[in-house]
Parts: sequence; C-alpha cells; structure tokens
Amino acid sequence: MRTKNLILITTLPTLFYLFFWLFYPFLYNIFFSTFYYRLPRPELTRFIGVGNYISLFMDYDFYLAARNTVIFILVCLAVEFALGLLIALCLFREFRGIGIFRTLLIIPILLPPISVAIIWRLMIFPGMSIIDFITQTLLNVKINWMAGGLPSYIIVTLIDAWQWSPFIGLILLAGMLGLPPEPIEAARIDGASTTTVFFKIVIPYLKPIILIALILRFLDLIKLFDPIYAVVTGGGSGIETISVYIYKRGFKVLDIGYGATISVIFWIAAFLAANLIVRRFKEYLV
Amino acid sequence: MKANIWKVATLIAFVFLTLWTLLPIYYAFITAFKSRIEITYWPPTLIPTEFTSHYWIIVWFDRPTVAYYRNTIIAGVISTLVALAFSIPTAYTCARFSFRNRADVLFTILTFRFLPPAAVVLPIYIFLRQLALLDMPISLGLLYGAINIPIGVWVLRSYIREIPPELEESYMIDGYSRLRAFFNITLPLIRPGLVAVSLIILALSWGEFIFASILTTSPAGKTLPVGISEYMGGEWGYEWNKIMAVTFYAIIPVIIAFFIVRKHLARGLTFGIVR
Repeated sequence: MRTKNLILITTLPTLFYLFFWLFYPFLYNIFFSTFYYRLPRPELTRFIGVGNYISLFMDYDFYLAARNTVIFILVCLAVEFALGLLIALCLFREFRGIGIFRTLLIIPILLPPISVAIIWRLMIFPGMSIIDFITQTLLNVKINWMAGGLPSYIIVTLIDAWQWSPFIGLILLAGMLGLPPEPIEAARIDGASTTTVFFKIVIPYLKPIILIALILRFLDLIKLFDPIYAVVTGGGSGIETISVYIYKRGFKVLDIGYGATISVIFWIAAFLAANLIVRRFKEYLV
Repeated sequence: MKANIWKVATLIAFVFLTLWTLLPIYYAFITAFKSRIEITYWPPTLIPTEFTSHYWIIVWFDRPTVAYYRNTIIAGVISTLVALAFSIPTAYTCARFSFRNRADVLFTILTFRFLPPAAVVLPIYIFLRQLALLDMPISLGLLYGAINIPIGVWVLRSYIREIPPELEESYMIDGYSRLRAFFNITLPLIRPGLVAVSLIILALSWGEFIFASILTTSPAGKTLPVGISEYMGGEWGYEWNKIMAVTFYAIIPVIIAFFIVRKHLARGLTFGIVR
C-alpha cells in the first residue's frame, strides 16, 4: 500500500504537468477550431461548426505543406543516414588523436538550430556569400538559394543534415564500439572479406541501433521549423512545412480559428505517429 | 595496393567531414571580425584583411542583447529545475518498482516529447495573454520544463537502474527512510548523469526558437534565439559582422556545455537507450 502511494505521488504530478502544457492546449484547439476567430477583429467571432475543417479540406496550401513535410522527412532521413554512417565509419578507426575528431565532428548537435540556420544563411546569401561565389565562378550559374523551389529545398536539407548527421553518426558509433569482437574475428579467420563482414555481421548486429537513430530523427523531423524559417524570411516561399504553415496562419495572419484547425489535425497525426512508434522501444523498458 | 586505396579514401572522407563541419563555423566566426566594407567584398574573403573587434562590443549596446541573455538564462535555469523536480521522482519509481501501468506511463511521457510546438502554441499564447504572462522568461521556463520532462525521466531512469537497489535496502535496514536512502546513496552515485541531463536540458531550452518567438513580444522580453533571428530582417539584414558576433555570443555557452557532457551525449539524447 505504501509503495502504491509512492508510485502515485511520483508519477501523477508529472503526468498532470505534461497534460497541462501539451494536452490541454489540444482540447482548447478543438474548441477554437469551431469558431471564426481572428485576433485583430474579435467582434466578428462566431461559431461555424466544421466550417474551418471544410476550408482545410479544400486548402491547397495545406496539402502543399503536408507534402513538403513528408518530402523533408524522407530526404533528410536519407541524407542524414548516409552522412551519419560515413561519420561513424570514420570515427570508428583507432589512431592517436581520434578523440579530437570524435568530439569535433559532432559539435553541431547541441547548437541552437536557429543559429545554425543563420550561419548557413550567411553562407548562401545572394551577392555576398561564399557558396554563392563558388556556384557563380565554378559552375557559372547564379542560384538564389533563398527564392524558394528546388535550391531552397536543397539548402534546408543541407542545414538539417549539417546539424543532425553527427547525431546519427554518434549513435551508430556507440553501437559499433559495442560490437563484440569475436564473431568478426571468427569470420576473418574463415576468410571473409571486409565487405562481407560489414554487410553480414556488422549491419545485422547494428540493426536495432540504426532503427533507433532513424526513429528519433523521424519524430523530430515532423516538427521541422527553424531552417525553413531562416531561409524563407526575406526570400521566397513554397517550402513551408506544417509547422511553418501554422505559424504563418496563426501568427502572421492572426487567424486563430483556422490555425487551431490545422493544429488539431497536426497534433493528432504527430501523437499517433509518436505513440505507435515509441511503443517499439518495449525491449528497453525492462 | 587495395589497402592503399582504402587509406586514401579514409583520408579524403576525414578531410571532407572536417571541412564540412568546421568551415561554416570558421566562416561565421571570422565574419564577425570583418569591417563594414569587407563583408561586401566580392569574392568574399576567407581571412579578413584587417581584424576589428568593434562589432563584438557594439552589439551589446545597439540592441537589448543584455536583456536577451538575461531572459535566456532565466528561462533555461527555470526549465532545468522544473524538469528535474518532476522527473527525478518519476524516474526513481519507474526504475525501482514494476507496477501495472508503468509501460503506459513511460510511453505516454515519451510521446509528449515529440509533439510539435506549432500544434500547441496557439492556445498557450491565448492563455498566457489572458493572464498577462506573455513576454515573461518565467512562463517560457515553466513551458520548457514540461517539454524536457521526458528526457529527464527516461535518461535518469537509465542511470538509476544501474545502481543496485541492495545499496539502498541495506541503508534502509539501518532505520533510514527511502527518501534518505535516495538522497544519501543513490543521488550521489548518479551525479555524473544528473549533471549531464541538466546541461542537455539547459542547452535545449537555450536554443528553443518557435515557442520563444511567439510567446515573447517586446524587445526586453525576448530570448537570444529570437533576438538573433530578428537581425535577419530590417536594417540589420546585411550587417553580417554584427549578426555573427551575436550568434557566437549565443553559441559559446552551448559549446562549453557540449564539451562537459560529451561522454554522456549519446545516452542523453537517445533517452537512455543507447549507451
């Protein structure tokens, strides 16, 4: 009985606090989403039922944002996994001074994402930046990376990959450093080549850890915001994700009712995705 | 021959990765030392022709950088304290006892980590506005505290689990309460993990952008990430030397924290799953 009380008083407040900040707003969004409600004109507020949802259903920009979110998730995951694997393979080697590289190459992880995005904005800014100079002189093309379209997609992917490939690299490296040496040595003695050892022993052994790295990146990419915000500000558009779209409708246009409607859909989608995927971690519970 | 090709390939990969990681940081850093004229040079200079520390100083005075710093520190410290206050007890019971809904509790907590800020920020904005709590780093701190609870619970649980419960039990046989046993035995043993988790939470709160940009409105209420994002537009749009000086003021504390937690980073950012 005393243990039961202890469990209740240590878990309930935490859950309550989380619900207060992250679930209660969801309920409030459901409420707001049934109203026509624009912050500059509160006197026009009126109940419109599912009106906002019908607008959302026919909103081209919403589908564009949803599509962009999916594209960024897939492309960033692929690029970050490739680069992350390269980082892990390089850092797996043992030589004097490897410790320095194992620290230097993962510096980007903890940096404030918006400052990373601004540093890249400096690198791509039209007419006065190093990447713009390189493409103009070497490739002889003038690319405006901030004007939207494919160049902006590429640059957002690069910004995210710059910051988060090291994260995947760090996780894979941790997995590789934990590899048991015996099966690899045994395969070596049997005459297996490096490639065979890599694909037949290392990769299968690392599979759970690769999965964790990709899942954690996937769940974070759903809310991608900062690099897009930095590239789009003062530039073109058309590369917005759902997060950026809510920001625009809710806080630039101040259309609370509609912003809440997008938020409701987004919250449900993110919650379901996260909850279903996170339950795969069951084996790490015991 | 084949071994040589591998050596060359590895060397190329190392050079590429090092340049890829450090070049943007280097270029941003030296840009902050360039003069007003030199930032417009074409081609852009990789080493400034003359170094000036002028902009590193002036950014403290022509924008409320001091207030940005103060707000970021307040929000960060409060969020760390709040997150720890809630997550240490939860992590402890989830590590020590197995109860019926434990998996549900842990998974629910973890799920909340992945909710997009954009999906909850509208009502939080309205709510804080009604209570006149917008623009306050304290409100941000309380909110960040909630966001970081999942990291606290999961990571600390993984550290607590490594301490054998027998240590506490033998201490409790001497007549001490479980609370005393926790504070005197377990807590000192998980101190490295506790420090790492605190610094990671602090760094994540330090860099949070979307909530901060919406829930603060006046110049004196903004945090550093919002402050530097404002340098992007308006009359500062081209003054890259100032922008980069401020950006580095925002980055340097995080880099220091990074070096301290380096050994615990993988574990801290994977919720204790990857050791």
